[in-house]
Amino acid sequence: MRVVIVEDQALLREGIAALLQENDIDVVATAEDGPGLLRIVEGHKPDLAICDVRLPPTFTDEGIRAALEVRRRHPGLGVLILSQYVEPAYTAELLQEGEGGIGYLLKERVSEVRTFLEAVRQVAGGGTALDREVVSTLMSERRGAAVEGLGLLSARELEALELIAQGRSNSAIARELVITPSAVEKHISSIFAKLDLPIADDDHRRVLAVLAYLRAIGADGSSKS
Amino acid sequence: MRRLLLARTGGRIGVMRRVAQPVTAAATLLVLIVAIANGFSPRQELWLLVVPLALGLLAGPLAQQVTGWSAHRFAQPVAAFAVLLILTLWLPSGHSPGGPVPLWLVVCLLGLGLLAEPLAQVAGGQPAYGYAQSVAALAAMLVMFWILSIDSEVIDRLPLGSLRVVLVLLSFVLVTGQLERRPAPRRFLQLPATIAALAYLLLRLASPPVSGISPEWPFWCMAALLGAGLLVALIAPIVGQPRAQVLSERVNELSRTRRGALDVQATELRRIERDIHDGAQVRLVALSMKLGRAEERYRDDPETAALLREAREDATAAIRELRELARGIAPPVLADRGLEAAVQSLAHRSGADVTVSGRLQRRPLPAVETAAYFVVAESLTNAAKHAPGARVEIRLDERGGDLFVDITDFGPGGADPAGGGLTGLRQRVEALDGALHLTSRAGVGTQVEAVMSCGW
Repeated sequence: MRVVIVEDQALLREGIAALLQENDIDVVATAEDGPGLLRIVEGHKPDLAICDVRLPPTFTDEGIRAALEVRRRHPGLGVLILSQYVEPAYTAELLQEGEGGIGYLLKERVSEVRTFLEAVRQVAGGGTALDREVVSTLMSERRGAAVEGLGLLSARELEALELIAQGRSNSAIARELVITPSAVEKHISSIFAKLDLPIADDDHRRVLAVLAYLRAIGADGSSKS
Repeated sequence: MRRLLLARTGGRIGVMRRVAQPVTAAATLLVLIVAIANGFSPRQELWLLVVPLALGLLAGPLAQQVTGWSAHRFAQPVAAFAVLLILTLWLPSGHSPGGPVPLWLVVCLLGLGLLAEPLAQVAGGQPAYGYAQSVAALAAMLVMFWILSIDSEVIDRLPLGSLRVVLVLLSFVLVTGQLERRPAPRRFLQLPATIAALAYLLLRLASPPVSGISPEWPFWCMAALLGAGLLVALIAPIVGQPRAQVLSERVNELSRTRRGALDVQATELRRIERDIHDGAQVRLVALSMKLGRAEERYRDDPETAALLREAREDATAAIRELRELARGIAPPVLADRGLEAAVQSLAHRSGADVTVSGRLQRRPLPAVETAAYFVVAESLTNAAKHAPGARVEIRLDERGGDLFVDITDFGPGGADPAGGGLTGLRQRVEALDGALHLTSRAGVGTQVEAVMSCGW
C-alpha cells in the first residue's frame, strides 16, 4: 500500500510515517500544506492520503479544503483526515464529495496501532472510518429516539453498523461485541437486507450501509439546515 | 488622562466662580465707600439697599468656602428680592421721578421668578431653575434701567454715578449669575461687565458728564453684552464642551476601550487555544503514538504491554482533557470558520431537531462571535434539558452593524429568567453593550434573544 502524509508538525509527521513503515505500509511522500497534498498525490499516485486539518498558511480548515479538492481530481483516492478535534460539519462535507474511501479520525487514535491500521486499510480500500467520537456524539443523542430509516434494525445490528462506520473489520467487530465472526456476518447481512441495499460486493455494500446510517443520523448534512 | 482633564476643567470653573463673586462684591462695596468719601450722605434706604446686597453677594462664596454647600444659589435671589423691595419702597416715598413705578409689573415678574424656581424643582425640571432666576433678574434689571434712564433734579443731586454703577454691577451679577452653570458665558460676561461698570464710575467721578456720549450708554452696553451672553450661552454647548458632552464622550471612549479590552481578551484566548493545539497537544499525541508503537513491540511481554497501554491511555485522557479545555475557551470551528459554521456544528451535535437560518455578510469581532456562540450553545443545552425532543429554531442576523441571535424552542416553556446559565450569558452579552432577553411562556416555548454590536 502506498501512502502520502500531509502534516505540518514534523513530530507527528515522522511519528505516523514510522508507525506505518513498521507495519509494511509504504510512505511514498510527505508534505506540509494543502498545495503540497495536491502536488504529491499528482506525483506519486498513492492509494491513500493522510491529511491534517489545520495547515499553513491559514491554520484553519486548509486540510479539509485540500482533501475535497484532491478527491474531486482523483475520485478513487482514499483520504484519511487526522485531526486534533472532530467536527461533524467537516464529516458532512467529506462524505458529500467523491467516491473513494473516506476517514476522519482523532490524531490520538494513531496510538491504538491495530485499530488505526485497520482504518487505514479500510479507507485505502474505498471504505469509511469515522472516529467513534463523531459516531457516538451523533448516536448517543439520537439513541432512544426513532431513527428514521434505521428503525427496523435491532439494537445489536445498530451497534454493528456503528462499528462499520468506524472502519472496523468483521473480526474487530466480533471482538468488540464479544460474538463470533459468523454472528457478525449474520448481523451484517441482516443490516443489508433491512436497509434494502442492492446485491453487490461486500465492501461497496458496507459503504452504502454506512452512508444510510449517516444519513439517518444527519451526519451527512442532508437532513439539517 | 481624560479623567484628569475633566477634573482640571471642573476645578478651574470652581475657582473662577469663587473668585468672580467676591471680586464683584468687593467692587460694589468699594463704589459705596468712594461715594461716601465724595460727600454722599447715605440715606437709610440706601443702606437697606446696600447691606442685603453685599450680604447676598458675600454670603454665597463664603458659605461655599466654609460648608462646600452652594449657598449662592439661594443668596442671589435673596439679594435680588432685597433690591427690588428697597426700590419699590424707596421710589414711591417722594422720590419717584417721572411717574409711578409699574409696581405690579415688578412684583409679578419677581414673584414669577422666585416661585417658578421651587415649583420647577418640585416638578423635577432642573433646567427651569435657570430660566426662573433669569426672569427674576430681568425684572430687576428692567426696574434699574428705568431708574437709570430718568433724568430728574432729585436724582441728579445724588452721586448718581456711584448709584448707577452699583445698580449696573448688581444687575450684571444677577444676570451673569444665572449663567453659572454655563461657565464659558459667565467668564465672558462677568469680567467685561465689571470693567465697564468701573470705567463708568471713574468717568462719572472724575468729571461732569462727557458731552457727546449718550447717558444711556451703559444700557446699550449691557444690552449688547446680554445679547452676546445669550448668544454664547446658546453656542457654547455646540462649540465648547459642556460637562454633559465631555461626559458623553467619556462614556463613548470607555465603551470603546472596554470593547477593545474584550476583543483583546477573546483574541488572546484563541491564541491560547492554538498554543494548546500546536504545543502541548502535539507533544502528547506524539508521545501516545510512541507508546502505541512500543506496545506493539512488546506484545510478547504482556506485563510490559499492559503497562505501556496504561501509559498510552493516560496520555490519551490528557489529550481529551486538553481538547475539552480548548473547546471551552474557543471552539476550533468558530475560530476556523466563524459563527455560522460553529452554530451549524452546535445544531449537528445537539441531537434535537434544529434549524439554522440567516446569513452574516461579515464576521463580527472575536469577542462578539464568542459571546454569540456561547449564547447559542447554552440555549441549546437548556432546550435539551427542559424541552427534550422539541423543535428548535436558531436565527442569526446582521442589521445596521448589530448582530441578532434568536433561539426559540417549542417546548413546555416556563424557564426562569434568573437561571444560573442565563445570568452568565447575560453578563457576557451586556459586557459588550448588548442585551439578552428571555421570553418563556408555559405551553408555548422559550425564546432567547441577544443583540450586540458587531463591533466593526
